[in-house]
Amino acid sequence: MKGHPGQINPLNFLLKSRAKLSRKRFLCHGCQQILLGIILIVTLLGIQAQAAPGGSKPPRWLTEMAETPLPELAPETEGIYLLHEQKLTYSSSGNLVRYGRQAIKILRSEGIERLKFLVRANTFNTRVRKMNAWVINPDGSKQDYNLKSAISTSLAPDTLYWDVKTLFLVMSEVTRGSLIGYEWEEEVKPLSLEDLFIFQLRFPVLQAIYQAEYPSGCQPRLDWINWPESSVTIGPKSFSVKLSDVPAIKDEPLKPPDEAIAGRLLVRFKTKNAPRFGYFFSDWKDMGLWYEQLSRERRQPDESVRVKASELVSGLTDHRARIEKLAAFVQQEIRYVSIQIGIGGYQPHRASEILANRYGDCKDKATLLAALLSSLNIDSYYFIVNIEPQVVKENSPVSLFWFNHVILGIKLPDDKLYESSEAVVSIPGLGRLLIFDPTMPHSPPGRLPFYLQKNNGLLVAGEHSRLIHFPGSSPDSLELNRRGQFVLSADGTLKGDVTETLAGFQAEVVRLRLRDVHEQERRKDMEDFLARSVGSFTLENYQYLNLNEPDREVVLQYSFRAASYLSKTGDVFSFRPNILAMVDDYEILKQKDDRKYPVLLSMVGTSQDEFEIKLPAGYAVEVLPGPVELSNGFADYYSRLELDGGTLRLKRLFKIKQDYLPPDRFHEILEMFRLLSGEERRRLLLKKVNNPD
Amino acid sequence: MKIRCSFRQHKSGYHLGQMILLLILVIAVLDFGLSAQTKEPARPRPPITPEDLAMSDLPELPGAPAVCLYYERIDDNQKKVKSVFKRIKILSPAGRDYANLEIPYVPLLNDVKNIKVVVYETDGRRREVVPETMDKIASRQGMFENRIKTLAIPGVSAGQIIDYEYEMSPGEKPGPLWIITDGVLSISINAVFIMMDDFYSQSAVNWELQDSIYIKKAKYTFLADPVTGVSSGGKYNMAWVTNNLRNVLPKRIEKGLELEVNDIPPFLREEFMPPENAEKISFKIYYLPPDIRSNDEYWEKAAGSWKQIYEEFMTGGKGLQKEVLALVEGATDPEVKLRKLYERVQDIKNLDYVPSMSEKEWKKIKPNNDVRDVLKRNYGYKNQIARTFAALARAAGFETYLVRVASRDEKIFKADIPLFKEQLDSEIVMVKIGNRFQAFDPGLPGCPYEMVYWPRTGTTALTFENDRMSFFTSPSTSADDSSCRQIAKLRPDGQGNLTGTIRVEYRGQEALSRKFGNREKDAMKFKEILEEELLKKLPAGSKVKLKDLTGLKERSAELAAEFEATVSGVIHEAGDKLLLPVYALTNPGRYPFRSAFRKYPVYFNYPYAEIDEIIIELPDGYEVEALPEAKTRDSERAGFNLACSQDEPGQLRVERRLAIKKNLFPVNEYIHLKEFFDFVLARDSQQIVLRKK
Repeated sequence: MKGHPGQINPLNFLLKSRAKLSRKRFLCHGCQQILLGIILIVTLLGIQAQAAPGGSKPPRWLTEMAETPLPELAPETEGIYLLHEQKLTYSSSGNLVRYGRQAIKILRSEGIERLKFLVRANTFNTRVRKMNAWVINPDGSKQDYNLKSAISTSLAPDTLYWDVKTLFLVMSEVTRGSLIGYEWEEEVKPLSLEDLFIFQLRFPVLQAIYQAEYPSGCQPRLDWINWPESSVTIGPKSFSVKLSDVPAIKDEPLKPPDEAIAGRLLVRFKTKNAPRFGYFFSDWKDMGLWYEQLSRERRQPDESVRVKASELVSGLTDHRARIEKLAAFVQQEIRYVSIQIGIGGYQPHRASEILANRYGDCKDKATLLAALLSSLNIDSYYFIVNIEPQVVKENSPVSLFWFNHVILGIKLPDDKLYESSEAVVSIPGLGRLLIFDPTMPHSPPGRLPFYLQKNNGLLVAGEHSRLIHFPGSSPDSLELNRRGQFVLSADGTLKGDVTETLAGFQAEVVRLRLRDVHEQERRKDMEDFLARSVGSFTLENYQYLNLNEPDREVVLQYSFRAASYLSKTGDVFSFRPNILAMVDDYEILKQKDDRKYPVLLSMVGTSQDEFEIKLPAGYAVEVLPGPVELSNGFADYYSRLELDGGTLRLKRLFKIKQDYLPPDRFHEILEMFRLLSGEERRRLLLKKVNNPD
Repeated sequence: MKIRCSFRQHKSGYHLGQMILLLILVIAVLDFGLSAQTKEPARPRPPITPEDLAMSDLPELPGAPAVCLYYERIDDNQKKVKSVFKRIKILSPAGRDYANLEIPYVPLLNDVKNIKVVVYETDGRRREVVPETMDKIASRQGMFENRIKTLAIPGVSAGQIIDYEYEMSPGEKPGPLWIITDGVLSISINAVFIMMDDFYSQSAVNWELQDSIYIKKAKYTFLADPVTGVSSGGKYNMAWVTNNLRNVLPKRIEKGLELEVNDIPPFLREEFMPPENAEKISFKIYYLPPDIRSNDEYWEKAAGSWKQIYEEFMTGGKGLQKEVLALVEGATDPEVKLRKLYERVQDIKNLDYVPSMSEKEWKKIKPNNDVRDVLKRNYGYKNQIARTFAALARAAGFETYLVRVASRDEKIFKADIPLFKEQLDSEIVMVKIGNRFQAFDPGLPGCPYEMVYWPRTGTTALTFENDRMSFFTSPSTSADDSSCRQIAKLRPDGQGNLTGTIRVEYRGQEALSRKFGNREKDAMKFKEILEEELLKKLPAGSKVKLKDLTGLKERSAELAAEFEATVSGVIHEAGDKLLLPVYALTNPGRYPFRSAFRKYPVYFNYPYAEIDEIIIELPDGYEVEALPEAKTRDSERAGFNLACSQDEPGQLRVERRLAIKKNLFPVNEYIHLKEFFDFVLARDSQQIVLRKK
């Protein structure tokens, strides 16, 4: 829900806000999603690989694909994976060798840009041994590319430095009708004995094949994610799966992220003897124990940390005040800088080092805070999470691949502290933990940042390690309260003085957007909002209060003047009494066809308007409409106009009760937003009266 | 235009008639010249004042996270060393990001050396920092590599001041590098570039003075090259040009120039602004041959060279005459003849815009030496195609001129920048037909006969005829030449919406820019684009579906699209009345000119007209109570009229016309333009009032 200039459009905010929050990184493995930013860079720069001199002929498996009959496809299909294959060999040396190949047919020129490159990455534990690409164009011309033609980069979004080298094979001569073949091979010294096969993509897949070979004494375990369990062909020391006609993931407004809905196969290997490299995580506890061991020494406070902790809490005796002082220090004084070398994508830097540098990434910040708390004998535990909603579900199988962020759970000494906070979970055996994100500067202790609400995280707490479901805000929480005094003049001008009070989600996002920008950008933001609400206007003044104080509500005050707000046609006068938009945009109404995916919003909560509109002297309301009310499972809306002498009083309330709706309940959200859209434009008639009284 | 500065450089002792020869021979000079670098004494920098230390906000840009108190850059082209010094005051936590340094460099050419960092506490205490420098790959392909020196300054907080400096100098042992691009040959030996940018000129340095941060004070120093690509007898001239830098002149120093500037704000984009390069504050220095002492001389000489080149290219002899005869066979009317010639050259494969060609195909492309080659091979670059048309027209007996123009989509021509080819990048053709001269744009694929694509209209143009160069403005278009006509037949659907058909007819630049801009899209994508475009104009929640599209493939300035449409939520009940806006096909939230302030001129691509003819059926049981008054406004800048009438029972007719009559509105006209759009918005929002019969 929206409704204020600093607002976040609750509907489409997910992507925007998470882009801003993408600074948080826990795991920077060579997985494809994380490389999308770099792909964009390469695509934008138009960097292309040079075809290999001399070249090799396209392999037979690819040329044979040219004859593959295509199934009946939607006319908008831009390309199709004729083959999408991945093979894993768990060698007796303890390495995993991952091999993949793909055959892609370009059906429309629109598909070229997204399909004409292959991306892999050399990381601290992965070495790309082979990358080949071939193109067979409709005119019969052929090109081939290999690892020598690859473009490499170590650039990564929001990371100052990492030692990953991302490799791109970008092909220059792809046209509509081209058949593309990719083949790669990489050797992995695994951290965890697992592999992920993402077989559902943005393009349909005609045939998806996964094969695994493993030594004796090794037991594979398969988990199907977002896909029904399918048949597996099992050999003596191997297995394979074949899927046909996997549909593409399509775009829908406010759908969950692709990671949350794409069909995937997770394969884990349990070995009889201790593996040479990596671990088999039989459950979440195993993983928690592993991470605890990896990070334990890093969070030990040294003398400098102890001194700093004492200095910070000097004079404070109250437990809560001490926690908040340390939390604020790490949240506000330690700047976000991500430097990841070797296993540094997982392992934090030492607390003392982070303190000395005054910078670190998410796991570093959590580590420093843990060390500071520890020196005051306050226990805390990491939570490993994914800031994208719905990626880690309560029934998600155990995997290191799911996460991208680290936060902290701070042990509370009793039942009283943060008694009514949404950020507290009770863990059997550990007691109450305050969930706190030291990387999010706009969510103080006690407030659970919106991207964590109803999310799931791995608690790293020794034997108590397990996946925890986080609480969420209450729909009754008043997050946006707007009070407006308006004067409508007979010449048609509307003058308005508005005070908005923003809490919770609304306050977080307005701070994310506007705290760190200069005044001109804030003004532009304000003007954009008013333009959506009243068209043409003059912004007379505005100010944001408390933007730098995350434990307080944000207050926004502004005054504006909108000429010609009162419309005159003959003797009929009309205007829009709702004045300010309550929803930023109506992207949801762009839904075409039947809804396929759930609707995912960033929040639940309530917005409220209380406006007084002084009518021009000599005019009266012709017909005062009755209240408008709609309530369904998704949300409640209520609007009421009252006349008090020459003043019109408007009260509106919009409460989002569900932030996640399955597709079969899409009509509820549609019904609500259609009503709201109409409400924004609803007009009230005025008539001239002889006696103003 | 003036040559601001001229001085004699070292005598190199080389006098070379041919520039390429110069480039080859100069290698020896540079090789020893670079080895004699000596250490410079520390440069004096402004002291940090108590005011600097106490500064907590920047009044010139309130809310700015940081400010650059002092910036110093020295481009020592004698030693091939670039030195940079920055002093940053951190004003807020977000400003700490300025303590993350990323310095790009090209290892093959140069290296980053002597990085020094000093941090000043708020009390003035000085702390020298030796940060850990990391080196990351920005991109690497084969031997070509771009790298970034990266470092995070530790212990940084708001209130502090950071000084950092570094030098960019030739690497230890770079190899020779030859780069040959279109018309430019450069050689690098020990990281020295000698470039022949253009006819008789060479760019020396380009200082973009605006950064992402406000700069309080900056000092730039340029020390000229000992030898340049335009030297003659060891001499050359130097010229400079400033852009949007008022009341500042550089100071001449020994062997160079020095520029001091104050209060440079960051560059902030605005909607509808001219090309950014034309508005950004910058300072550029060029080298010119010693015999060119003014800009007039430069243009005269450069134009003469251009003339010589194109005349040689257009020489076709008898072969060309034969070609003309064959093409116009049977035609007697000059217009018919000319059209045939134009269609012929439009059928030539345009290598500047070819969407995709295989390497094999590119290898087959031979350089065209003259128009005969172009016609024989049937391919050419855009200017070669323009010259071919000019040659054919001339051979057919038409009075024809080749015209060099500045495409104004990316730049605005400046006469004091002596870069002929960079500034005047395209060629159009003027042909006398009867008593009039008509402009043609044969170098643009799909450009209709007698039409010029908008970037080349109303822009600086140059001819060289009868041994004289002439600047003039290429023909402009009027609002009537480029229109978008919407013909809508709509009826109420009983749910507050209007449904029916909207036919959109694009004419002139409106058609050509859509066709050319989307030339690589397939028909399905093109339809999607048109649907999206219309949808953006309509109220939120509207739906459109393109049913018919005509004119897409024709080489014409016409395009028509017919949509089925639902215009959402425009009819409102108020008592026993129905209200609907007189102009329903708009979304007031898209209103462009919201701000009362404007920094840059408003720049539309071309003058244009919006024409609407809307028929609205009255809902059953309703009749008109009142219709908005017809409104008209007309000025030299823009025109608007809107009328609503009931010509036939049961239906309303709305006629609307908006014309923007020029494309450039200086800042001082912004208020008028905004007022005009305010007027339009208010008139469009007037309500039609219907009552129950």
